[in-house]
Amino acid sequence: MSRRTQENIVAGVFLAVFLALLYMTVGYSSRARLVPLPIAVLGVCFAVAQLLWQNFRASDQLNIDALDLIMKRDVIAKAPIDSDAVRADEAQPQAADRWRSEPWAFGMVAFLLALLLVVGPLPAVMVFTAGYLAMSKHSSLARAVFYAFACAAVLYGLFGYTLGVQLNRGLISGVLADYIDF
Amino acid sequence: MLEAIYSGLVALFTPQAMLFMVLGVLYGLVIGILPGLGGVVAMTLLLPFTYGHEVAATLALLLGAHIATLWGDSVTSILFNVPGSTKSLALMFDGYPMTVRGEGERALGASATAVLLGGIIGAVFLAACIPFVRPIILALGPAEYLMVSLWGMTLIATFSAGSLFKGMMAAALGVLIAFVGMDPVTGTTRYTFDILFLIDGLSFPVAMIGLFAVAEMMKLHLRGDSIVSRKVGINKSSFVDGIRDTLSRWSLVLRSSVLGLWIGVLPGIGGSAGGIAAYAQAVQTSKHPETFGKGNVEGVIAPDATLGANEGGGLLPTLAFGIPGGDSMALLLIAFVNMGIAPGPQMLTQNLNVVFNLVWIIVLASVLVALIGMAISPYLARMPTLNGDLMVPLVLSVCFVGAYATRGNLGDVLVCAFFGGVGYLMEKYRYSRANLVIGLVLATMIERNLHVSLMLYGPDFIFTRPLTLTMFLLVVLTAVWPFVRGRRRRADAQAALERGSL
Repeated sequence: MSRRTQENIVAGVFLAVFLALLYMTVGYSSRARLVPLPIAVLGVCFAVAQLLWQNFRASDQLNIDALDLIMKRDVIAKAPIDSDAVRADEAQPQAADRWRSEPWAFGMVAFLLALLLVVGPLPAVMVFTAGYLAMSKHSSLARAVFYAFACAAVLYGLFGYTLGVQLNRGLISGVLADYIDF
Repeated sequence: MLEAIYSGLVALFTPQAMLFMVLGVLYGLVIGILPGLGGVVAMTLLLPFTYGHEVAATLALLLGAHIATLWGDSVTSILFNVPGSTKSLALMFDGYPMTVRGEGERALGASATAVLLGGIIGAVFLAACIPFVRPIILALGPAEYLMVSLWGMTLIATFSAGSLFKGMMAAALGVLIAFVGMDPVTGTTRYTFDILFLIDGLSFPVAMIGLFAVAEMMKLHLRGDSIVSRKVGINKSSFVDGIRDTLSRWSLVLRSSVLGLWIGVLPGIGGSAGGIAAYAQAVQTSKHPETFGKGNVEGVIAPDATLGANEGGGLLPTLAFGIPGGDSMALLLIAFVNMGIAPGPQMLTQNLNVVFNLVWIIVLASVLVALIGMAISPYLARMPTLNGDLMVPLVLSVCFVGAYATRGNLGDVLVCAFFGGVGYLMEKYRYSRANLVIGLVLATMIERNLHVSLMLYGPDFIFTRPLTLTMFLLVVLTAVWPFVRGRRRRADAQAALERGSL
């Protein structure tokens, strides 16, 4: 997917969000929409302007800024695309290791989230930490498990013991609690 | 007066008071370092311990812990891009880039020194201004608070450099996200989609943890390196460099501290807006505004000096009128009541020794934090050099558990993960995350003060209140100034070029 298409998708999502929020805002009372309404309208305007801006320019000028043009800076000199994101974007297809890919990055966050919701924070931390360390080949499985227990123990000490936060609450523990009465 | 100053200090030299202060500071540092938890949590958890001890010792415990959280919050913002609390938001803008550049220890040194100097200036101000400040506090109202919040918004232009429309979109989104939940003015539930969890609104610290820390860990996972690249190394600076940086920028420290005092004195503004306003002030007065956001040490010094001084300022209305200057001051007020001390004008006559006791606690706790900071900074600064594969699971775990711990609600973990994904995509496509958070933090304050101003002073309140008008003109000037300065610099450069070619 070209960089322009990706940029268009993101700007399009922003536009859709602003339009949805604008639609909802219109339904509120005049006082409740006093600030949100103009902001939502501005958001829509900025999103449309960004979409127009990035589609009426050459691909190599995608990173030239409107601010540069307004302030009449030397836009051609500033044109080189040097953001980390673009570099990462270009580098990804060359990366041999799938483990270092974006889907995996999103996947690991989703996995930790799912674990946390299902089994509760502390068990989730143990499983996730051990699993990540083992899969990334940072440590042997035994050492990964040790690190995971150590991490969970520290978190329990800081949050559970000191602050009294319940760290075993998850969907499963809720269901089990109904049956086992603990 | 001199006797009160002396007795205020002597009261802190009992074994119990000294022990409580040390315990409070150590405890505050730990709480501050935990993501999402700040001074309010630290003080809330200590409230049960306010019964049955010496007054000075109890205050040392509470206020010592609170002062320590300021630097604790800064540590994680600087080293890991994980905001300790909303107050330390501005520290991430330049502190983290310094860490990535291998200057984490220098940033920590600058941060600790700025908190110390800000704290001392705040304490001295508190002691000096008590008799004179009443008319000033009474002259300021919601219209002026609104202008302070709008001033923070001028920062958006700074973070939009590189992509104006994207920056503005991010800020607008942040403002709208801040309105999720029950509108306190009208009682309307906004943008909740009938989800019960959203009626309380989104937790700002949780959103920030996701936007910055989770997104940063996703990037680290992709990179497979440590936060501080091994090619960069960490021995590029020391804690002493940070101290030197702060001392050599004394005028910035002074300006930021005065700003912190002022914001502290205004009830209801809080340190979050203070840090952002301090950062805005540093950008607007710097000779090199273009280096902000890329690791300029002034971006670390200004917010921390403001936060340090904010405590002294916040104590002023709390003690003199019984009006808390912020959340933490409200908790201190509860502690006063627990101890049988009634804040109000009589504090300045009957309990003047307690007032000076608090002044000394701020000074001594700030010194203690700086000393501890000096001792532990070299070790802390090494943490970002740990292998990325080890950092990712550990930091992600701390972030998610921290997000859960802020309100004990699993929904917050969902919010954290969602904002993690959003933060990663925003970074990738260059939508300013800083702008989103600035909008998020300042929006509710702007809306609330706008509503109250309209009710109290009518629709043309900006023009009917001279102070508001003056502040409004200042806001406009500071918003326009970067553009004027940019044009002037280019004109100068052009003129120099022409002179050279002649």
